[in-house]
Amino acid sequence: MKPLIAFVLVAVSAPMPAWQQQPPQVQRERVMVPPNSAPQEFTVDCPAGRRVLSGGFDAVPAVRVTGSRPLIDTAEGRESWSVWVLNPAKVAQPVELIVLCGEADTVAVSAPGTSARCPNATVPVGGGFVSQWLPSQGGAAITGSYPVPGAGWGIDIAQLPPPAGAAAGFEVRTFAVCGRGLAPPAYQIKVFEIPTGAVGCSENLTGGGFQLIGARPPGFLVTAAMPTGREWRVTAEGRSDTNRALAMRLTAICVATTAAPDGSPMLAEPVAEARDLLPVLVAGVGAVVAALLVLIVLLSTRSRSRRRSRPQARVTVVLRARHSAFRMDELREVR
Amino acid sequence: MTTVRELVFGGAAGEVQAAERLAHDVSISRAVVGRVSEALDFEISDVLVWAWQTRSALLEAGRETFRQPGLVRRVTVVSYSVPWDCELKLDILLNGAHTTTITFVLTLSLEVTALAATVQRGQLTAVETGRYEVGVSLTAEGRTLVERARGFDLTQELKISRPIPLFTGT
Repeated sequence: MKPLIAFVLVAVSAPMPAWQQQPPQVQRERVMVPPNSAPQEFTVDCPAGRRVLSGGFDAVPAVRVTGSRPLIDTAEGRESWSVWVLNPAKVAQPVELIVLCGEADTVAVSAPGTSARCPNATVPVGGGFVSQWLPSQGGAAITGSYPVPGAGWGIDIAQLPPPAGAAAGFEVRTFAVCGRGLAPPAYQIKVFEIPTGAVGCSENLTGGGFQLIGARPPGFLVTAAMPTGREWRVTAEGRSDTNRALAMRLTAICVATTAAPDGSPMLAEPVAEARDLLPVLVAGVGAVVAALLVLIVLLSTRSRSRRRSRPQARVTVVLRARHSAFRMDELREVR
Repeated sequence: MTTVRELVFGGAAGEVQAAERLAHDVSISRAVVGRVSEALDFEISDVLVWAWQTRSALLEAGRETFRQPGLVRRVTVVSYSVPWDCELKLDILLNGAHTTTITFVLTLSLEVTALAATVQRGQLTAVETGRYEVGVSLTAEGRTLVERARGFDLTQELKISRPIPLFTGT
């Protein structure tokens, strides 16, 4: 017990970086989108002094979300999440806007096309997209928007056919929110069959991504992609050409608790006085031991029943693609 | 003659360790890491030769000696370094049904020092001295599975039994 108590004392008394003083918080706003033949923009703001980490939307299938991206007004010092919605229906439709805000040191970047690169010494904590979609010209449906570890943010698109007689054309832009002074995030990945899936972090979810796996059928539509506390949740609609359920990959971006630059450990919410923690610790350790015992019993029962009833799954691994390249811009030769 | 596979995994135990870092369910991750291991079964010196064939003093000497067939160039290079990235996308099928795709990224950082080599007729014909350090990292979906570095004697690793063409014209 003694080393554990000592650790907690150090943790409580250590100064913590601003990032960890308040965990990221979700802000929501419900808007009604009037009918319109062009996409309309709606925003939800972070509280003053908070930085935008990521965000998203929760919409009805009657509308199409063509953009979901960070928006930073440096002149007014306001940070927001922006959602572009096209409502071709005849009546107004509800859409919920979500923004996840924190006290991190972040920078937002964007680039035309399907990727945005984070600056050196930063890591992607969130990201988004905008597709200039018009019913009169067609455009690109977003089938993926996800972190690219070590690089930034990427999106996948499926071109929508233009109306008869119109010239095909679309324009997309990718956005990344990049955090400074953070350890490389842990990525929790989960594959699910649509309509709805969620993947979570044990602490400090900063954002998330989604990616449709396999073919991109017409009619595929992401109706919700959003942070909900500790989870990243996505809802989509569509069926494959052979009427099979579509699979998507979800990624939750989790910023792990790491050592602070001065070597002191960081905890997410250490607010109690150290002397008050002793009874809590004793009770907590007891609870953990009990939970572990229950877990061991459950696991052993489960593995026994699996051995009895479930046939072994056949795993096949196929190398689908292989690309390689030298980083010529980093080539150095001294003669 | 060390392969990338040997550098990354060392042996079967290294593959098991990488599989355990990839996922708790080792039954699947062993199969995945095993497939990656097979795909990396080529010599590290091959990558170095590709780099030289892309841009290097050796390539310049190769072009020069190709134009002048009687010319023999002895090339010395103090240092030469370049990173190489290799991305592998693997589909995982359970009972024949596609479940997910995992992207592996291998990065080799090659650094050659004190190179002395001979080039003639557009080909590398001998390596007299040289040493190279190779740093390697293997990540899966952003998670680092292996990271290590090792040094080699280039004259041992690049045994030239027959001249190596330095560009496609040769």
